[in-house]
Amino acid sequence: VTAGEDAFPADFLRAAVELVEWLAARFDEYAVLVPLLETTVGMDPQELATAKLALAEGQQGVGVAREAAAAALADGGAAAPALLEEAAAAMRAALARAQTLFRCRVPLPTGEHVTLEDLPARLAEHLAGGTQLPH
Amino acid sequence: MDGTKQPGRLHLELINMLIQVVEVALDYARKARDPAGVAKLESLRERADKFERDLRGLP
Repeated sequence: VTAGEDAFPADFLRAAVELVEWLAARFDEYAVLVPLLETTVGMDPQELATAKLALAEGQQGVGVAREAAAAALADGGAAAPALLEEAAAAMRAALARAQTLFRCRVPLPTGEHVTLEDLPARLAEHLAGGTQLPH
Repeated sequence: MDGTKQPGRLHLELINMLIQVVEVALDYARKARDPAGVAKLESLRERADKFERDLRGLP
């Protein structure tokens, strides 16, 4: 890629790095949460297995995406297309794993099941209502 | 380039992917009631939209 005419906007790459960091932070959160699901009463074993696999693959993908995006940024926006495509492919894979995680269903003490992405809001409702938290 | 793609095409693909990731992230942050995250991600989406417009030569 020739700098200038074909150079990738450095601000775009910075935005991409920020987004990779956002994804990485979500995987960090789930790295704490998913092991807790192992001992959660009523947790479906298949959902747990799916969550664990998605977490492992997502962490790996986001690590690759982080390195590739940082390397592309270090090239001042004139990174090789192969590097940009590697970063994009890794981010796409990490996003797919994150979406799988978000949709994993976990049990509440009420017996109801909610997705992990809906869990924070449901926890807030429990707190506001003074009812028992999931454990 | 690798000979199979035009520079603008690759860039557009990457920007579209960034927008897709931002949309997923925004949806998640809204469900998680994370206003700081929503604000940051909306800023990212605006920047991504601008990149796309610039690349397409749109105002």
